[in-house]
Amino acid sequence: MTSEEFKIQVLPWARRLYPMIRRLLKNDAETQDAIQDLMMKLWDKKDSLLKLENTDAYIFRMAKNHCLDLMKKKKPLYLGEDEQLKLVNLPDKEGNFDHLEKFDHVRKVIEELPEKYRQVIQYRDIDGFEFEEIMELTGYEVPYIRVLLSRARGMVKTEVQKIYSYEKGTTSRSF
Amino acid sequence: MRREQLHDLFEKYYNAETDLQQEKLLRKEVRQSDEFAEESDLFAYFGQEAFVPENLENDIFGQLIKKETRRKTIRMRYIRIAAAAAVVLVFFSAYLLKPKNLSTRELTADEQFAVLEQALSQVSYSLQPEEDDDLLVVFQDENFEIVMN
Repeated sequence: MTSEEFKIQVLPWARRLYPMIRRLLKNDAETQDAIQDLMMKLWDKKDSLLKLENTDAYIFRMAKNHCLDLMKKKKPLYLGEDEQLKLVNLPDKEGNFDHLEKFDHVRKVIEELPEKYRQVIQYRDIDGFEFEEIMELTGYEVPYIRVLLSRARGMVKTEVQKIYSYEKGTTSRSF
Repeated sequence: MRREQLHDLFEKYYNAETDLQQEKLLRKEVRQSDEFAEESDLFAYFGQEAFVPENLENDIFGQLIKKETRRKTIRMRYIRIAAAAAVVLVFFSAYLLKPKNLSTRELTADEQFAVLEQALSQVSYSLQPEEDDDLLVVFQDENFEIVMN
């Protein structure tokens, strides 16, 4: 595989994988380093990539293993350094605060979902992965992924509605 | 898109029956509508979480090329050092295995100096990295080298 072929066939995976790895590491600089390492591994194998029947599946599997290695090394944190920095440096505008507060509500709702629901909704609605790719990552069959995703989307919507209703004072139940 | 179509698409979305293209369309429609407040915030959050730095691919590709060039330079240096060592070894072996009874003429001081000078320049030349078409050495010392291609 030439450098140009690598650029066309493999490099776009950096963009596709970025949000997922960013979510694991919670830090942009570390995410970029991790993706750089992954791309370097693929670059070293670029001649053998051509001989594979399904290059995308191979890259995806390699990315999955790379993420598993990263997860072993990284302790889970709720807020990453970048998020903390963003919160500290927030412009003093009510509009921005509202926006961030809403995102924080949604984030909490998703974080509090049972793991398999959370995984599936993140892979689909944030990372934009196909069902077959989610199957590769989770090991679940596609029909089951659809069930989990459907329930996760419903649960998130219900919880967000509850928060908005509470904020409007139409219900006394807090989130 | 008509309101009914949008509602149908949302029903499919919540049943996880939409494909990625339809979900993209749904996000676009929601951005332009005031009706779906929850979905609007959800999709905005998903969009924010999916943020990727603009120059990511270029940065990564630049680093890959840089590392590849560096490896190539180091590999070439090892080959040249090995070649130089082999040349020295061949000459040294030839000297040791030279027949003792071979009649030789004593060299004058000038001839000895010329032979020595030629031998040193050959060793020096073989140690010196050659100009490479795709490599430009900007700076080099014992521990550090900057190359461009």
